[in-house]
Amino acid sequence: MNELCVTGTAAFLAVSAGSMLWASPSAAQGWVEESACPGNAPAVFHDCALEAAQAFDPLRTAEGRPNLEGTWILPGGQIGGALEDLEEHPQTLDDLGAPTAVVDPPDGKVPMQAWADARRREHPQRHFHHNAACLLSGVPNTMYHGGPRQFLQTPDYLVILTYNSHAYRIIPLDDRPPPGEKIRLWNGASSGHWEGNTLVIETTNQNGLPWLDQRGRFYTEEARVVERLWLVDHNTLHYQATLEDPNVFTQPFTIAVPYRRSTEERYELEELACYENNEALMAVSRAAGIAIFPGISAAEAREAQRADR
Amino acid sequence: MSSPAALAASVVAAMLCACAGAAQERPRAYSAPRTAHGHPDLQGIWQAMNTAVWDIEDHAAQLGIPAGASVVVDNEIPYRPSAAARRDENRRNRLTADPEANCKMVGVPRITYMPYPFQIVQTPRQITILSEYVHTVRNIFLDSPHPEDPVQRLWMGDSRGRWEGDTLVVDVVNFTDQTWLDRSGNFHSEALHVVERYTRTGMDHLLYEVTIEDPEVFTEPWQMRMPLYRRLEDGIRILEYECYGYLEAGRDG
Repeated sequence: MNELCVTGTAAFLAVSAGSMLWASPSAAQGWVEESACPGNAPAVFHDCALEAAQAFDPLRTAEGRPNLEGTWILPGGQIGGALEDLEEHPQTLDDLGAPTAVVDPPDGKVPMQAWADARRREHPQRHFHHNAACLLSGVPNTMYHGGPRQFLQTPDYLVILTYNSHAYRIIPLDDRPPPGEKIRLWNGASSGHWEGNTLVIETTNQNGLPWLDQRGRFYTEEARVVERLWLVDHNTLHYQATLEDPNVFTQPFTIAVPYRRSTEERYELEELACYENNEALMAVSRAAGIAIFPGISAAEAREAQRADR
Repeated sequence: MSSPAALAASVVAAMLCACAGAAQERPRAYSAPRTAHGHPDLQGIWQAMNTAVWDIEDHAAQLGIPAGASVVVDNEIPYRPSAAARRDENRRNRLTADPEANCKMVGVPRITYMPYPFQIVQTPRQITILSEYVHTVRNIFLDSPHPEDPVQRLWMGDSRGRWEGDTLVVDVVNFTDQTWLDRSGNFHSEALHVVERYTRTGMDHLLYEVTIEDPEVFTEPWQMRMPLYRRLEDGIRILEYECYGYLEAGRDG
């Protein structure tokens, strides 16, 4: 069992607690393999999904919207893939390995500014991944964190329930304006609207505390995320997220992840009492001087940019 | 409204009202709007507006604690003597021993009367309640039995629901013994069995009734009852109360 959400110095701390905290119900990990886009490598999947969606007429809700309900599995498994590292990375003792999740820019690299890339390399040595403290993953990380996801869809909301940390997102579908800018949230404030068969979700009001991956990649509270979800066929959902944060990145970039329908028709998401069972791990980490990542604010990032010039 | 069913309902309501006392008003004859799939529509963002989170029983004000009337029907929790002693000990240690003070999930029914809003979302097979407090989720599965051999006990219990007319009835078991009923040390054991009833009584009100059964702690089942209010603010949304994030930040401090 090596289901860790920390790397580097902090990794060993999570070994004992890892199996308890991150174990996922194995029965839910099976997915329907038959797909118009069977390839799981994000770049391959993304290109296929763009094409396949044009020919697919999805099941619709009573209001005539594509019906995204169901339990969705990330074929990367419980961990791995983008959660470890957004970029291509090999299998090691600590990683399952995966091709890059970045589909734009075409080189598959996260376009970090030089100072930000240097800074993020230190993060895993000094800080806990926030998930190891059972905190929310942020958008988009919460969408490629492991474990099954259940989508509930009503005329007014899409609700996304995740297994890990029993995190949820409530996405109003009325394209409402975001809350005031002093309201800062781990998962940000999202609002969605339909563009044809594609659900477009815009997220602001983030708190800038979560990482994008276990490599310590980060963004500030000013980040704007636009996600686009569409059904490729009945059992395949395309997920993509575009991140824009000129404080940290040289340009906006887009990641893509395949979601595949669970083979279990009546899957019941179980309670994962993460924090409630996490005291020992937190105590050991505190004693070892490893703290939760405190974030790099937009103002600090701009200061670092100036110093870097 | 003079159909035989409505008349019968009002007679029953009058009888129950007489039993429970004048203050415990039964739901008026209100027919809840239906969801697209035909169930009574309980959806929306709701919140309790009372002092039950401090103390579910009658209590006088203290510094920082508003006085409040009991939400316990008949204002009497039938503790076994040994359990009453444990409640008193909890109460003395409440500032540190209360699970809420440690940012943990608070269980059922306490989550319903926490001072945070929650959102009810309905699908044909599942009703989900999403609370702002430590992103607590309750999934209530409709018309299905409790698992016979649960692999673990649950902080929020295992919830199975059914419709009785316009009322959602939720049966909850398989709890831990780690949660309390309020900030005053009222508690339960793993044997807790909760039956909740959610009934729309108007456009913006739900009646919330709970029966608490726990033979290890109480001599007989007892009930709580309170209205829940719809949050009507424009653009209202569930935000976040990531309690342990603030707790850890304080430790790093």
